[in-house]
Amino acid sequence: MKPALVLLCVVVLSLSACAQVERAETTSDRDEDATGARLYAQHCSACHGNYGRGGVGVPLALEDFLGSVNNQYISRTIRLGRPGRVMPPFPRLTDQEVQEITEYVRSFHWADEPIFSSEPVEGDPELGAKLFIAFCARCHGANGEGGAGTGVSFSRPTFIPILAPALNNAGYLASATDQVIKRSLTLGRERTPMRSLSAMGLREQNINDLVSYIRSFETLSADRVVMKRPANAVLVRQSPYSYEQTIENIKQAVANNGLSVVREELLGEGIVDPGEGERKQHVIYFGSLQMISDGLAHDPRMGLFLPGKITIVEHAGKIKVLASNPEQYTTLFNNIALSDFATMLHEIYQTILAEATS
Amino acid sequence: MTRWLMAVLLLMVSGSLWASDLLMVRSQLAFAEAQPRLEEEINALGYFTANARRVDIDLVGAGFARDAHRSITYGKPDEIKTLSERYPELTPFLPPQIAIIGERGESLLVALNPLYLAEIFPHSELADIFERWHRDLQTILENIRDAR
Repeated sequence: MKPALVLLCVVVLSLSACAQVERAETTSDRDEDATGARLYAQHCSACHGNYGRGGVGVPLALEDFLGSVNNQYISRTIRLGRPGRVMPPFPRLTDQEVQEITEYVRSFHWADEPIFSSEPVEGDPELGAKLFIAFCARCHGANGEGGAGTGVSFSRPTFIPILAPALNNAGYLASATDQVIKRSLTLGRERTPMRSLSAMGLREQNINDLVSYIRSFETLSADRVVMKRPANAVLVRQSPYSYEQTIENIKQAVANNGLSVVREELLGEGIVDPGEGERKQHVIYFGSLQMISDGLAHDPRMGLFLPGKITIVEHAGKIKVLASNPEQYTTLFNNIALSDFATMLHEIYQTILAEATS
Repeated sequence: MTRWLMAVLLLMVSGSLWASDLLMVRSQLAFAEAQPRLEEEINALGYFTANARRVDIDLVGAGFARDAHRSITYGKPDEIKTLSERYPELTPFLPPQIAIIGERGESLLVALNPLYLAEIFPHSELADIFERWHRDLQTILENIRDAR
């Protein structure tokens, strides 16, 4: 299929999805003062949009989505999230609160909750693996790691409503029963790029084999997302130079690494009166257009940490240079797509701090 | 069922480490209204705000349909001064800030949860401060979320 035709399909699907969401928005008789609505506004609307119309996260108010997953899928997704794929877990919500949100999400469309058997699907995962490569890997990745970037996240243009989810994600596998997966494979998802494999000629046994293979991701350690905070949230180095010299060294090290000082100021400038005493707390913001643009493209919330920031302080007669450790950003934003960028940023910080203090 | 329970338990243990490290809300106010309203809400709780900083360099050019992206730092002068002098390791996170991102006529607000700072800087003296910052930040964000 030519790229232009693919783009046209995506645009048409997007418009169709939007129209469906708008319809749900205007025709539903939801109680917006109910507990579920309040909890949804508090915990979900930032990403999934008011009325479930999507944004950062997937649009939830789609008839075919709500018609193809049961409440258990929604509840477990709320509870467990999708490790590394932006959707956070909500372990502190009570069961009652999760249920209230689930019922509110269900109210986005008039589709009844589908009933699924709890019977596991019996299939041959080895045969399923071959079918997966032929029918699924192009969108869902060779190992079920999902579409490029972070799937449905900040890191894709907003005109695409849905990207292929990570089927090997522990949160997904714990939320979707075999029968839920089988339903999606068999019938596809209307108004998304997910096509019906049945319509593409696969028989029920083929689809069972595929379900067995997808389920087998639970036991594979390779390519699974593991989110772990670094041991230290702050990078610190002591400088043998004077306060003033250390500031100059940092600026020189920034330039040595092909980056620019964006601005420099006393810590808390605009908030703390600069005339109060001899504060030795200098902040240097640095970066490049490319670095900032790359970071924001991976996750615009990175604006909390971009441009880069290094503080130089005198404390107890010693000069210290400090920065937040970029290695924590991947877990902080629950976004595995930030991993390479965070590693690169960590190396830049380490290099600058080392150069300035050695 | 046992398999599912094990998966859930594993996820709960790992998930609780980083849940709610960020506070995010969506406001139905457009960016141009949301930004000054945010500053008003911050000031109403006794915090000072510094100039909003642009972070949306080349964002639209990269294909993302967001119309603006700013970061607002805020704090109480004495508190920022005292904390930064007493705890230099806190300075990379001071003053606190809220990022505000325009999105299709609405605004998305994101901030680091002060309780995250309480976890990574477990000093007893700081716990109460971060707890108060957390309460105030929730109030600020909820007021912006509910503003019409």
